Amino acid sequence: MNSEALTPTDYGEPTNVPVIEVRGVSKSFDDGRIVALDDVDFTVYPGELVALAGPSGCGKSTLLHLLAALDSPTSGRVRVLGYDSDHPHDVNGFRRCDIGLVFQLHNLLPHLTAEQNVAIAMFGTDLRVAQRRARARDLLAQVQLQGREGRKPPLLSGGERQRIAIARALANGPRLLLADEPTGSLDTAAVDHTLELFERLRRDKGLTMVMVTHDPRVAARSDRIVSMRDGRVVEA
Amino acid sequence: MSFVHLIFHNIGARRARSFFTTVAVAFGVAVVVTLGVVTSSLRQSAAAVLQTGSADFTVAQKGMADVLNSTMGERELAEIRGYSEVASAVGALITIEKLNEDNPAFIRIGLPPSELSVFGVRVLEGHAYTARSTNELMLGFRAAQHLHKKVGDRMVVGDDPYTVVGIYSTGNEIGDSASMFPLVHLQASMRLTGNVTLTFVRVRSGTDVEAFRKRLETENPQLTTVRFTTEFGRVDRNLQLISAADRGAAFISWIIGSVIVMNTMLLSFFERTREFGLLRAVGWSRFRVMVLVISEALIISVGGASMGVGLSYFGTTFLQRLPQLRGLLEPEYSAGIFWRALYLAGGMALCGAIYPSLRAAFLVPLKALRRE
Repeated sequence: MNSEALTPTDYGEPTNVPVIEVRGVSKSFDDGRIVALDDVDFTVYPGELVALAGPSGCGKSTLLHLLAALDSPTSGRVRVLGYDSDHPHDVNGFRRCDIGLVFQLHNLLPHLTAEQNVAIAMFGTDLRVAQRRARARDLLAQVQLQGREGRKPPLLSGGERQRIAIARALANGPRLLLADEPTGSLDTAAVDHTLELFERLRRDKGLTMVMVTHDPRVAARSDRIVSMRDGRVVEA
Repeated sequence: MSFVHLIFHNIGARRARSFFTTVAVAFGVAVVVTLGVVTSSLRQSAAAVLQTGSADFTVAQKGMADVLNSTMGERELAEIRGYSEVASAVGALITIEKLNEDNPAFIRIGLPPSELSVFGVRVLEGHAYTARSTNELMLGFRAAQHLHKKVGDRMVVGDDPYTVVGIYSTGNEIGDSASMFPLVHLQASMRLTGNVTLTFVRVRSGTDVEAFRKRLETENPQLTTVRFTTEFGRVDRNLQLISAADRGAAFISWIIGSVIVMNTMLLSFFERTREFGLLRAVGWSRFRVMVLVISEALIISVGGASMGVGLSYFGTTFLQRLPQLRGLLEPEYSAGIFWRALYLAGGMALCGAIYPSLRAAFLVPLKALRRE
């Protein structure tokens, strides 16, 4: 992949400053016995919606975790919105404000309500309690969960939990959304609505998105599909 | 949801464990506070004996286990009186007698009638006893009220019958709750002829009291002086032992309480590993995670401290009713006692929570999120 190439999108001005630059990244576990990523190069430009596709175990989620600074590469360099794996700094601010992360397993706190689960991501920002609450309610309404604000995750369906996780990822107005199977638990109508929400965020906020997905509907709406196999990018 | 709300919410989410940890801390605090109250009360009661006479300081025999075992002879009394700085030195024999079950510690003070006024005694009713009488006594007005005695009444003290010839006041609570006898008679009945327990010294105006005390102690190494109640341990090693036991119990309670809090917070940490991983993944700083864990422990411990003070009240009341301590223990719940409970609880929380909070703060988010 040519990192210098312009990658125009349908939304916003094209730019040659990548949001994500992954260069020669490898990641191994268990003292090198398990190679999850093998010399991966990968670039994403502002406003792009990139689908990461590939069979289970091919390294998609590992790559997403490296992009979210939840893990560091064994070798190579990951640079996301100025955050550099070679020179890490203010990782908390990066995780809190620059990116939004939707986990495959939602990772909601079962003893907190839907609203509190969203608001918890806003601790450490300048927002006051009332502002955090209002924003959490607004985000829940955007993912069609109005009226469910006071419910706790165990009392909600898988799809509803998925939408809370999406709302939480959007809590601090990130510039980059990283999502691991964000529509995996949603029914058709909810998938359409979520994808419309993503489209709107791209259009209005210039949000860049990288999604791990097996869903052809998500892939069809993406600008690019990056296919992975055995820890390598095979098609971009 | 505010951060404080989240702290309370997390405690409430694990009600049973939080409650039982609070109870455990409460028992630790209760033991320490009760011992503190008892020690402080005993110190106050005992030290008050030294303050019965109006004096700048009191002289006693050095190295006594109990201040009332102090014995000073006429020669030592004369030596003290011989110092030019001394305005007056009143030697008093002090003993404690059991009157009955309700009055197990009745204080008897032996003084010559000529020194009553120097000692600060003011006769309110009747008259002072005579120097050589063997059946006269005076009662402090508080003792008279408590015993329902008035001038002319008879009472038995230590198998001997006496007539109450006067009611007096010293301006000191303990002194006013005591009784006074002719010194010679009390010395004879206690088989301590020529001896006194304590000497109450008043210095001439302009004398540097501290410097004079030091000089007196240097020149009379068998004697020690006490000016403040906090110095009472110098003349009463029993109280030193009680105080040491009190400090030891506080230390042990602190250790046990800290271990209990740590156990609870560690259990909580293992249960909430994914939660802490998530908080770190959404941008919580290590410091914020630590503050969350430590604050939860602090709230539980402060709750335990409050409960412990309540338990201590019942514990002290129980001790007060024990026949061995009846009349000796007058609990004083000073602000210091409550601060002690708070310090202890705070110490338990900090020591118990610091390790779990560090574990939570330094979790690798991804590994934590993978924890089943």
